[in-house]
Amino acid sequence: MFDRNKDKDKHGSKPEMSADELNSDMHPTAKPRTATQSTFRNQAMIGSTVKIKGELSGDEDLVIEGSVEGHIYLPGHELTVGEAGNVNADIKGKTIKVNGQVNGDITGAENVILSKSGRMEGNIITPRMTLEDGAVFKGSIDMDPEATHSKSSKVVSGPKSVASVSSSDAPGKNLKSG
Amino acid sequence: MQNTANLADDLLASANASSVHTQPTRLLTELFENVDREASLCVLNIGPAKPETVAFFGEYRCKLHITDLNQELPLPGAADANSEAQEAANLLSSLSAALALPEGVRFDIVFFWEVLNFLSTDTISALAQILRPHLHAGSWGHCLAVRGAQSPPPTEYCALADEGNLRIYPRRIFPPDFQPHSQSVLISRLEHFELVRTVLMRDQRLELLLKVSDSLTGATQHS
Repeated sequence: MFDRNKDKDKHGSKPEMSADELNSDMHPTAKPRTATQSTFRNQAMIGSTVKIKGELSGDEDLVIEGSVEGHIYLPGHELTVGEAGNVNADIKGKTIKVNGQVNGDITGAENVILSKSGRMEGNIITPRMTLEDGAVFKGSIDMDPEATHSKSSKVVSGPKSVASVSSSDAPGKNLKSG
Repeated sequence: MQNTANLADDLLASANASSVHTQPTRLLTELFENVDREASLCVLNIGPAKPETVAFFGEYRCKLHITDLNQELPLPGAADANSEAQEAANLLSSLSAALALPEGVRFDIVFFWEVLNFLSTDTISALAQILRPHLHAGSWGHCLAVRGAQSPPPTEYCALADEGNLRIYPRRIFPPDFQPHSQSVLISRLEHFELVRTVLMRDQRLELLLKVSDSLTGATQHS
């Protein structure tokens, strides 16, 4: 539906880092971290000069200030697209905050925040959506508060998928009159 | 047709003087009295994405599609046409691309807000044509219109605050062509929609509540 790749070349021809390269070295200046090493918060960062093309996954929070194209999968973790961040990718995570530019679909298991500096074109599936004044958004937001309620009642239920909202569901059931 | 570019500076000054505020609306109350909060809801908002609108529909089991047509104006393509048929085809194509409606979805409510005041009658007809497969018998529509053909461009724009209130914002960006249409012209061009009620707002604009006719051919009927 949306032309997600229209801006993919606008950052010039700097060499791109593959997702595998990135996963092995998210902090170029930091020493490798083992699972047992504790930090006050496990959070990786993709710097503003870094460009990544491919599938990106991880088990820690991530901040993107650079450019990512492909897929981002961070189940149970928080993704922040910084103000300088430019993401042309579908994103799955627990909490996703968009301060920069995203072209793609977002699935946030807990919530999605589009901040005042955020610009997004795509579809969002999340039980809780926050949009700040000044944010630019074009697309669909699929919200289902029951998903949150069922979590609090210890019945884990993911957000309703876009596909589940079919054309045949919408009419006839939604409105009392007509 | 009235070119709003020449009026923009004067209007901007008055628009900036006003501030964001809330205004009651009886028509939205009437609309949402007919909406089942427990059922899933599919809404099209042809206007800016605003925080209170998203928060309001977050209380529903809702799929909210947002596309700000104001930002897409003027629509490209019509000037390149060699014939009326080509112009109509270009218009449909560019409008469809601007709206980017999700396939297979039928909307229960369509909020046009003020955008119809900035579209030609042909464009409004094209919009109705594009919307048709996305409507069902009983779908609701809501729009704002000017009181008369000599009315000035609105210096404010509205968003949904809650089921009984509009949030009014000062308009800082004016789409290129202000084209005030009478209520009867709007209704005639918004094919499939019938007028339910009109209310005169404090700023002399008209608030229109519309409903898709039960006779909409091929539409799913409400039970």
